[in-house]
Amino acid sequence: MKLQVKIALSIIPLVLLGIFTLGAWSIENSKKSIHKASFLYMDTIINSYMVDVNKINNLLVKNGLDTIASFVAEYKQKALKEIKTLQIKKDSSIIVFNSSGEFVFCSNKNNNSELESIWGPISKRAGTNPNLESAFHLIEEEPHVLYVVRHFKPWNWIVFFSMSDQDVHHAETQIRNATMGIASVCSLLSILLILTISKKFFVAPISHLVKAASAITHGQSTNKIEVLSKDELGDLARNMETMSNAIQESQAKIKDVNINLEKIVEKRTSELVKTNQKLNQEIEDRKQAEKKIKESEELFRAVFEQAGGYCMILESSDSGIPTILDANEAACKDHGYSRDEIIGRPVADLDDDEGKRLCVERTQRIMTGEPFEIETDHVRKDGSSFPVAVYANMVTFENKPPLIVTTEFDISYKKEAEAEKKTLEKQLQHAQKLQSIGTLAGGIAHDFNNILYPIIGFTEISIQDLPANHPVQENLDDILQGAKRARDLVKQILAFSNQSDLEQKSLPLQPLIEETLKLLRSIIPSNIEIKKELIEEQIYIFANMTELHEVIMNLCTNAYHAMEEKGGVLQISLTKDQPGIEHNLRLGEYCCLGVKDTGSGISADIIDDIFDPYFTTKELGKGSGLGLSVIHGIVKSYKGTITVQSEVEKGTLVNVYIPISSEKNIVDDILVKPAKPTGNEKILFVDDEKPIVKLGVRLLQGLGYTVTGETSSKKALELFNSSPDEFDLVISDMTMPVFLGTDLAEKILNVRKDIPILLCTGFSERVDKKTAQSIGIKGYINKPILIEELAIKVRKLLDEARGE
Amino acid sequence: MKAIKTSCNFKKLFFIFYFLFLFQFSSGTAGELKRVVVIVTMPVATCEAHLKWLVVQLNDLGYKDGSNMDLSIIRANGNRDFAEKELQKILKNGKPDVVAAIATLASQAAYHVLKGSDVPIFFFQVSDPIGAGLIKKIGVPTGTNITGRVHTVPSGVRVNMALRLVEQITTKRPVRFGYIHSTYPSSVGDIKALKNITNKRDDLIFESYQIQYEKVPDGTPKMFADTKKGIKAISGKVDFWWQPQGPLAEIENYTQLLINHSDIPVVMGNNKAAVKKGALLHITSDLEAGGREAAIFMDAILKGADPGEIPVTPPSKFHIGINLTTALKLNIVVPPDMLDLAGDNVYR
Repeated sequence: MKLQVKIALSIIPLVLLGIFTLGAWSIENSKKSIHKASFLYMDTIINSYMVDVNKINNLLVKNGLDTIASFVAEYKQKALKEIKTLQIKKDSSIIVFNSSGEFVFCSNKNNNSELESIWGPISKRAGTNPNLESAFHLIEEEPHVLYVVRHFKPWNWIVFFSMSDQDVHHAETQIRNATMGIASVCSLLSILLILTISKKFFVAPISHLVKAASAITHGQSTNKIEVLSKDELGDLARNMETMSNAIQESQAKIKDVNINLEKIVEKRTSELVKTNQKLNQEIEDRKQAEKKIKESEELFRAVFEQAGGYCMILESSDSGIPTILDANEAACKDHGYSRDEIIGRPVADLDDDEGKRLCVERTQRIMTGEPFEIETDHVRKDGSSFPVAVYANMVTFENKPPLIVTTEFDISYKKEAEAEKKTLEKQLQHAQKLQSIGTLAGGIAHDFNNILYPIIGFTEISIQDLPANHPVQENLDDILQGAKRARDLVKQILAFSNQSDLEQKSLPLQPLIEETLKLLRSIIPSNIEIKKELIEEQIYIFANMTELHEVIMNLCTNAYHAMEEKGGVLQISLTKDQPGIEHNLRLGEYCCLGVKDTGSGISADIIDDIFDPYFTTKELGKGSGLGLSVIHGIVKSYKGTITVQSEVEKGTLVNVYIPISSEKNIVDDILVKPAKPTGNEKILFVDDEKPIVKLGVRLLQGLGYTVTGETSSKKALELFNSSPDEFDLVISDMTMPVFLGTDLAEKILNVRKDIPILLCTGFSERVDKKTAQSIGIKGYINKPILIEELAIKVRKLLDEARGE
Repeated sequence: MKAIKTSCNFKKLFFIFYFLFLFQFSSGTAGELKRVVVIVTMPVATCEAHLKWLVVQLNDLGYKDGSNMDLSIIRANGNRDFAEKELQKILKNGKPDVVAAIATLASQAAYHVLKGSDVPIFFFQVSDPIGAGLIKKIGVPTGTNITGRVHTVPSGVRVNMALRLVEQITTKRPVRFGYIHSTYPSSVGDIKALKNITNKRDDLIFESYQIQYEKVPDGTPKMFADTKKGIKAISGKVDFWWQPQGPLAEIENYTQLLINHSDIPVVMGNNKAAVKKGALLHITSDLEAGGREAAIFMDAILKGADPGEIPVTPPSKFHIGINLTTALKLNIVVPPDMLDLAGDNVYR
């Protein structure tokens, strides 16, 4: 048991005795105070109630109702009910008796007869006691109950307020418990105080001494022991300090010796560490150098292998032909050697014969140090050769013989590209030639048409004017045929040069084939049989009728010429097909027009040239050489194609593929020619060429019109201005001096807005529809003008102007 | 007073007391002449009492007629058109600083003439200001140039007090009250409010009979004649009479009329006079307090208070009157709390 505990145990009983004695005295005193306070509380409650009762009674008295039984009874009941609203303790109760000792009311549900037997006499005595004015207190000992009594004289009520001992006892218990609690707290505090004091004066000094002794035992310093008292414990502490100091001095000396020894050891260790570090640095430097060499070697190898082309390192030999020192993977592989096979081999083994011959000379050039570039052929291991571009350089080293480094590239693709370029240049020259022909053709077409226009026109008039059996009729027919052939030739030239302006429509193909065959039958001799095999379903294509006629006629004529000598069968077929991409066509439905003959055929060596312009196998004067090239151009413009299959002496099949049109609103008026429309309106005809004016006037007069011809555009305008309502239609040439046709039209329309104007244009004067419409020109017609076409156009414009 | 106090919203009371406190000690303006117009609906006791106390309180606040106050009193004698014309005449001579209107008809006249203007109106002795078209809602600021006080005790309070008495002598349910009233707005609003209560409970009903309102005092004989017809028509259907709000029951002999022409007791009187004549009970606002309160509010308005910010609330003080002779005759014991509330207003 510790010293501190021993001290505490010896003092605590005395402290506890004192505290509990004081507690018992406090409890007894508080009990009396509780009774006093209880009576005070009860007085307050019952006085408050009596005030209310008095107030109710005053109401009766004031209003003269204290003699009205019903009011008195009701108000007393009200007063008794007020008791229930009082805030009294649960075990407390308020009891009312009258002065005769009869029970009136109790706030608790008690036994009324019992109450009456106990309190009745008291009430009766109180009621008859004139000295008992207002109140008195009672204490009943067993059971312990407190009573407060009031006498309300106006109603002769004795009012008891009782409070049981339980409530009082409860208060006492609370006080006792509180006192006990305080005593316990005081005891605890006393113990703590005792413990604190004993610790400070006894336990702590002894504890310091024990620690000091322990420190001395373990050789530690105890310069100052914290015991300052001047009693025995203080003396003991000071002696122990003296002893401790002596021990400290001895230990300090031993410590100095140890420190010197440690310094010597530390110095030696430091030197050893430095030497070791130096050695480690040398090892590390060597490792770094080796690593750099390895990295350099890897870099060189990567560059050598990935540089592109064939890289080789050559070294000189006594023979003058260098040997291969190293070669990259590409060089080995593309020359057909393994690495082991190629290394040490003379480089001339890779050269062709010329290279082998020039190898020594080339080596000497390289060794001069100048850059060396050549294109030559290399030979693979298997003997095959391929072109290469060679770049070689001499590389010199200190204290070592120089080496040659070559970089070579396979230039096969370059050679192929050059060959292709030559072919394209040839094709370009050909195309330029064709273009110049087209330009030339276009240039002369206008003049040709102007020449042909009066020839055809006047011939037609002459044929109409002369009797049918007139001897000149035959000559006129020949003139007309020749002129028409000339006109067709112009059209062909224009079509070939892709400069024709022929209108395309959706056309039915079968009637056109029938019509063409009808014509052919008249010119094909009887030894040639014509067969046709046409699909029943009507086929429409988007084309120009003249061109299409030209295509069929041309193919059939060629077939006829092939069978001219021996006769044979000409077969025309029409089918539907989907040729697709094998013929280099867009996907979709096509018609296939087949023209097959059993004639001489076309030899394979010329079959590819048959579509070239001016290519012909016919005798001089029989063919222009433009026929197939023209129809090829026509079919191409329809987004179609032509295929040819032929065998010499067996015959030829030409298939023409043209896309089928979905439009079927065909104007096939040309197939069935109607009678020329006529009229009696007044027309102003303007052209700077007199023959054309003369012809135009004649043609239109022949159709019944009243025509005024004029060769000067200026005069024509003056004429129109002088009497604009005299004319129903104006027909004007496009190219004229002073005013162009469009200018004249514009000026005329300024004068009379509703006059219809027909513009005649040659090839080079084409005016597009939008331009013409923007000026106000109602129609235009291409030269050379045919009488039917002119008649139809004139009638149409006049009818439109009249609103029909 | 306990029942009445609980019916009043604490906020409203606070507001009222705030104003009372604010202006209790303020004296009237000394130099500036204030133009004050008071319109009195008709020459009945209630209106006259209100007018009297209004003027007394204005004097107490420092307003002296002919000195710093130009007081114009329009006596409408039950004729609203007349009141409006008189008010318009006054307006021609200049705008009044405040207009006070006593009872519904006067209030309607003032409102009709001054609606939308900046002339403040303070109405009181109006039982149903919503039904009369003066305001939209009770208990909230009006936001216009009009404010005032509701005249009657809330209908629920009156019904409960009456039932506490009559329930002692009849076990029949529902208890049937006869209510003969004129077309005067306050009367119509009152019966409407009472019937709203009976719609929610099945222990009482009001059997009403409406007659045409005639100007008082000229139209009194006509209204009395119609009242007799009403007594005859509904007396077989009712247990007790309940006097209406408005001018009909304000007429001195109205209670006598009911008692003389039927053997049905009058339970709810319109005012103290009715109780003195034999009605068992009346619960009405304190006329002195009402008049004085109106003057205090008018003083506040004259000093710049915005009537649109003053909510319309029931009056702050009421009177209960009881006729003990009637109670004893009917074998009714008046409960102590009611007798206590009646104070000196207990009559034999």
